[in-house]
Amino acid sequence: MKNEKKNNISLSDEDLLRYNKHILLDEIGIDGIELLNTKHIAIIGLGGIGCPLAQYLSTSGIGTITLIDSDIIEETNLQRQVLYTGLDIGKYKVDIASTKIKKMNPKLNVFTSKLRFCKDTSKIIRNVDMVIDATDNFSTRTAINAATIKYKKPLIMGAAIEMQGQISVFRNDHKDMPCYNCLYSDIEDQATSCMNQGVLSSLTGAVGSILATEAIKVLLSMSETLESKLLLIDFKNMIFRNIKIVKDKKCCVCNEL
Amino acid sequence: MKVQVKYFANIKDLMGKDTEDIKDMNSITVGELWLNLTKDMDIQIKVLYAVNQVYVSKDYKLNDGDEIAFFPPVTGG
Repeated sequence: MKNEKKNNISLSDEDLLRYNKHILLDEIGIDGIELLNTKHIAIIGLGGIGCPLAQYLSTSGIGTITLIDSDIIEETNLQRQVLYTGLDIGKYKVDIASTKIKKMNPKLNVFTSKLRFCKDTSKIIRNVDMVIDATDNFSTRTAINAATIKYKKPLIMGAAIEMQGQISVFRNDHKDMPCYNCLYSDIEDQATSCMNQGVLSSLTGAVGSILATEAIKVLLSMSETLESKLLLIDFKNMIFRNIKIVKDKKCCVCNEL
Repeated sequence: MKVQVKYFANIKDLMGKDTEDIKDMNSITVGELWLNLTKDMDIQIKVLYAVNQVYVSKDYKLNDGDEIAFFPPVTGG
């Protein structure tokens, strides 16, 4: 975002210092920080991807974040879910995550939900500006996709397993754009989630970081995003590849809602 | 006709190579090509397809010179 001179800057001196390195970027600037301050993002899933994502967004200048996750912290989470420690085992992820990111940025507004995201609980996203899917299973991802189409919200999706990841931006706030189900229509969770498979901790960090980057770019209307593209990440061979996603005219989700 | 095939992520591990050229093939769909390539293997994973960097369904009819990418779905987080 171009940094134009303005007479009325709403940022405090403290904010100008806190966000100095973002303000110095031509792509963000003071106008960008002021705009981000007005934005409300929902992060669904506070696992390996959601933790670094919440960290970066909480310190970026976003005004309000709603954290949604029904899980409690387990010992096996600690290898990659970097907001939690051994002292947090048995506690709700959203409780610990909200406390941690509020400490990182006291001016951030944080809301939490311990309800599992599904069709019946989906209205929680109706007043947000963007939804980020950092969950770990296909059924929740399809529910998020349907809800973002219903409430016309941009959806940013990130996934990781073993040493491979995928990221995409679905403009479910726009008409005639491809949705998550145009890409994935009949996936079985057993083969694609991390319930029984390994996942490289630094991969989930990288996916979370890229999701935070795409969120900021979409909110500030930057041009080159992963809109209607799928970024394939192969950390084992360190290969990145982009694939274009086109709308499936037979998609039973975005053509029906 | 001739096409170039690229295997991505764990598909590459399963196939033991990252790319190969397929020559003298009949006009078939990308899904049929995958079945042909794996007919002697015990592979029971879901695979997705891209042709010339565009995501396609298994029914996409291949053309001479196409670049095909086989990649896995990922839903974990």
